[in-house]
Amino acid sequence: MRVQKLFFISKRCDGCRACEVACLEKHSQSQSIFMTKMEQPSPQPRIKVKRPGNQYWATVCQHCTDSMCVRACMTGAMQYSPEGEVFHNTNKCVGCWMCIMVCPFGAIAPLNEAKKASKCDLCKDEKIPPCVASCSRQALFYGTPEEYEMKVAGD
Amino acid sequence: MRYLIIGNSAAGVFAAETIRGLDPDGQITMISNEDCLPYSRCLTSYYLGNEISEEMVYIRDKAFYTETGIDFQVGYVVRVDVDSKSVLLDSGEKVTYDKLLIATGSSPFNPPLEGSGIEGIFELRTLDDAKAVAEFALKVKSAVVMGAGLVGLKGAHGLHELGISVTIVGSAPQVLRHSIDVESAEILTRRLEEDGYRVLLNTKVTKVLGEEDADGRMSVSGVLLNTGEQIPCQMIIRAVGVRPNVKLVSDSGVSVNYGIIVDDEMQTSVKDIYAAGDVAEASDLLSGEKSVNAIWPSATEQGTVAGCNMAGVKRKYLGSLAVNSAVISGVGIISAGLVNLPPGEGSVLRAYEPNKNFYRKFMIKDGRLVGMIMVGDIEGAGILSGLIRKRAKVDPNYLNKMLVNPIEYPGYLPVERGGQ
Repeated sequence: MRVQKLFFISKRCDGCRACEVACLEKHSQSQSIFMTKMEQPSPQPRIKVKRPGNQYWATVCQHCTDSMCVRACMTGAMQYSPEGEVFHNTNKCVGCWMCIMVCPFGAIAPLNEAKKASKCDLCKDEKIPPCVASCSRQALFYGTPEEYEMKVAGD
Repeated sequence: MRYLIIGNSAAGVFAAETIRGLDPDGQITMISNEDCLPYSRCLTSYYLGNEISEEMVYIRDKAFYTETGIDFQVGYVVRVDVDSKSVLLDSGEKVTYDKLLIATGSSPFNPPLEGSGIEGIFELRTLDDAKAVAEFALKVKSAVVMGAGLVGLKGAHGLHELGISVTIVGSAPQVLRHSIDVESAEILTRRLEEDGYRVLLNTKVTKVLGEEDADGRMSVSGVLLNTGEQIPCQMIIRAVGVRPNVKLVSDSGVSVNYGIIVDDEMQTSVKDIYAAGDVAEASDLLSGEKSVNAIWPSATEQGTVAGCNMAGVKRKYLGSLAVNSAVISGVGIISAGLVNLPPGEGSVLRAYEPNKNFYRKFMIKDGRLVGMIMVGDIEGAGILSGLIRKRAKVDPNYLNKMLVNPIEYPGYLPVERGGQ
């Protein structure tokens, strides 16, 4: 099992939020940031950059190996993929917000109009997730935990 | 190794999957008295209200038993025989085990009620219950739901979705008395009333009234309340509470209090017999005392822990944290930990905007968050329930800020000082 995940390297982030824009575009019907405002239900970015203290923090699904959300999901919508990512089947989701109740990272958002939970799906149809590709500071990294350790070793 | 799991809901399924992950060659048998795929009892009210199809009620697909190599048997377990390490089914068949998990859940508990033997009175626990209610509801204009807990409110919602006029009768002074406090309950009651429900609190149904139909059968025509009022209705759902299904271990040597008592490895007082889910009485995370915490996330976590230990991988259960999430008449509500602090203990932070259906309450004791309620905007609730679970010391300034602002990750994981 070689699970690739998103890693956030806080000290490289300058809070430009290009990742949010890339995520929003990718998960919109129009695939265009200018058209997203007109879409119903309105798409939401699944990564959010905030500055809770003196550093930026990207709130995004960590694809935990022992996930609170998978255990809390009463519909079976949150499940592990064969590779070990946390996969959210929105068809099964009824919007009970049990996953939001337990995610310690606050990485799942409620889409109230659609009555569906929303979280990072790692954009499996892309070679590199658009949020990572859009990050000019290389504060986001996509790879295995081992590759991530190598990446930050020189920092 | 022969693993036997009684029950195929949350705890049973998560235990089975955990065992299979750790022991690919073990023989796993699941016994259930319901002949169907594992499904979510929490979803039966959604199914009743036509919000989801029957297919969506199931939490695993058709391939579940075959892909995981689980032998699924339909049967009702009458007794557990500790000495011969076997269970007896109602068919007379005996099934032996090396490791046993009791995940039999709970059943509705109905105190005696005058007139309760007639047609039109239902429970809402199983998928079959929901199907029976849905079928009967077709010829019903008004219904009474006894019980203002989660099952009662969700059952009422299901009927309301079908266009039925619903009266909710609760004996407590508030709705959801086990999950939320008085103030947040008031918001929900008001929203329910705005949506056309009638909500009667501090009230009990004392008698079911019946009348003979054209075929000479008695069916429900109304209820009599302790206030003397009569409410006409053609249907009643009883949802006043549940009791753990512990009968199968009576006189077996397995210790039972309210539920089956388990240690922090989910093992019962008898070696090689484990219990998990609504039937188990495990440690509470905050108080440390044994209690039954009959909620989905506890059942799945206990099932996972039991599965690990049954397969020989030691894992400790950290204790149940009472957490609840519901959407009542369009208003989301999430609670975690305590919902009320005992008088004179700790401090309470509260924000309330009735017009916006917005309410937040944080309970702090010894510098730690021990309980929270969020009504309305519930995004980020898990950050706070995570702080309760971790028993982390929490900065009061952070909580004060979170009281009215979007919940943000506090950065309680060690982060280096920023360069900016």
